[in-house]
Amino acid sequence: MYRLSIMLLLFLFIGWNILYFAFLRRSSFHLIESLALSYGLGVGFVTLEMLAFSFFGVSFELGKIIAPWVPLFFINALTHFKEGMPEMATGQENKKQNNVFLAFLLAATAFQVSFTFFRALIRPLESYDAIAIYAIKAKIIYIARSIPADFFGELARIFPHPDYPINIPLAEVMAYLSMGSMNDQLVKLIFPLFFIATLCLVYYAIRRFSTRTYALLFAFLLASIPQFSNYATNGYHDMVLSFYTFGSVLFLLLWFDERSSPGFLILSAIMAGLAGWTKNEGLLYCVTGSVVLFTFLAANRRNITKKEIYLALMYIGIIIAISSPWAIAKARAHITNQEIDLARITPSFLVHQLYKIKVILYEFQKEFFGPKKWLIVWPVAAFAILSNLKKAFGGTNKYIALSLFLTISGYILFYMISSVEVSYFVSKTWARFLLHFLPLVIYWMAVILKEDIDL
Amino acid sequence: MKKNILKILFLIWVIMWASFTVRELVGKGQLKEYKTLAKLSLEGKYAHITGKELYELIALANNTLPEGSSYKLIGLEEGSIEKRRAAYYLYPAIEKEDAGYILIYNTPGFSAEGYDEFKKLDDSRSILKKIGAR
Repeated sequence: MYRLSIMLLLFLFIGWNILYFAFLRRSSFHLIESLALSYGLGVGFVTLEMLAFSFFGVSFELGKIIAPWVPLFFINALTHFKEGMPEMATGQENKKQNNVFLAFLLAATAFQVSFTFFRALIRPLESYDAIAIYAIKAKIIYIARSIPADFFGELARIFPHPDYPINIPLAEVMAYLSMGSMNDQLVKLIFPLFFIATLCLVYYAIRRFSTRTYALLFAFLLASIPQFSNYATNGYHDMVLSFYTFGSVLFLLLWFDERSSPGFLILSAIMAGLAGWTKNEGLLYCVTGSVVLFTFLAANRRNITKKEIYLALMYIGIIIAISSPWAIAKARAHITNQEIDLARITPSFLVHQLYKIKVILYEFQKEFFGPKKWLIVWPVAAFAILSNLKKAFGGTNKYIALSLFLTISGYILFYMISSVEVSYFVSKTWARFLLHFLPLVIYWMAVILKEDIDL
Repeated sequence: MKKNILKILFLIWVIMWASFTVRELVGKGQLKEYKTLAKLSLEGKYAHITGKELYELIALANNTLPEGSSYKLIGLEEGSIEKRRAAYYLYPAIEKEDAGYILIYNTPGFSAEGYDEFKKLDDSRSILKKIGAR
């Protein structure tokens, strides 16, 4: 187990340095928020580095993986000692004594987090996608200490979906390298760490405008949703994706409010790019993030500077830079998605697919009223929105609504153009796709209900 | 009014969360399952999850097939989770149509032309070797 902590420290160390660098050493993150972000950034960048290694035939060894980050560490360390530690953000203090309620929230969240770690680590990787699609790839790569030349050829016959991104399989390889052996039970630590990182992101996002108790209330609500915690234990990548997608939207919103520094925008673009590097569905968030950004710029064109337009172009550039290596790897191997053929999408094709809407909506309502997976989060969210329409769609919040609208529309379009039988496909995937934007919905609820809950 | 509705909704939320957690642990027998898993080694967990009989065959193949071997697995449905797990555990051996070895699971009396018996666990689980294969 102690060897696995090498992996964790490495991810944190590399992620922290990227965060420090992206914000030109002036970030306003809380220490724990920084650690949560560093973990996700560290995972994403180390695995991108491993992919780059494979292009140049460099084998995967711990020393080689760490070496390129050393100069960044020295640059950051030198600046740090010269300029000192930046100030961390602090939220509002609790308005009144809520000790009992705060204690309950702390205890309940701590229980849920501990229980999630326990459930993840009591079993080795064993669920269908975790084994058939991802862990097998990690095993192939770990044994070869590189991405083998026939990974997309002969070997691709033993796993489905060779086009799926390999961020997490490579993170699993990194864990095996740290441990010095292939322990597919301890490797699952990756997933509950993303769970707790997402909770931290949500908590500190709400803490920016509210009290500790209020922020913890919504972190608890997210943690307690069975579908969300279950997906932190089974080796699927949907909960990991929700970390990146939430970060991409959240930091975009923060940049809308505070455009003096490009840090939040850079971070949003990185998170969107890493979402695309985690699952193909993440590419949807790259598109929706860009549309939301340009909508914001168009709506505020009178106050937008030239520099901000360049920054928006940089946003697209960062996403392309992060998405390109995997796209190149796939193009070289002539790998395409097996379920979607973009060439056959024409207006008449789409009209012929309209019959699918009924099936899709039927499956949507099943999840909306499905307490076993979701408790009552969707009806509560609907109540929060409908009872605060002005707030839900006013100010910066309208961009949350736009982001969600575009995302859901994107998924519906995805179902429409997919060649897989629609009722089977929606019933198998929609409950997972909802996870991708669940933290954003929780955050939106927290923003909307701020005046209604006095904590 | 709205505040009271929100309070009630939160109460319902917590009650549902607590009852689903308890139901999962006690009602669905997960607590018992966790107790069993906690006592097992990693290999024991593989066997417990995959099914003892299938995992014994996989372990036998892993211990006896030479490096770089190919196999064909008989007796599991194509695309099933058991077949996927077997492919995962058996790698770097790869499944091929014209394989050096045939792993027979749950198929008593199976034989194939050009193959001899290599290892046998019982009447329904054995490994055949292609005549002339390494």
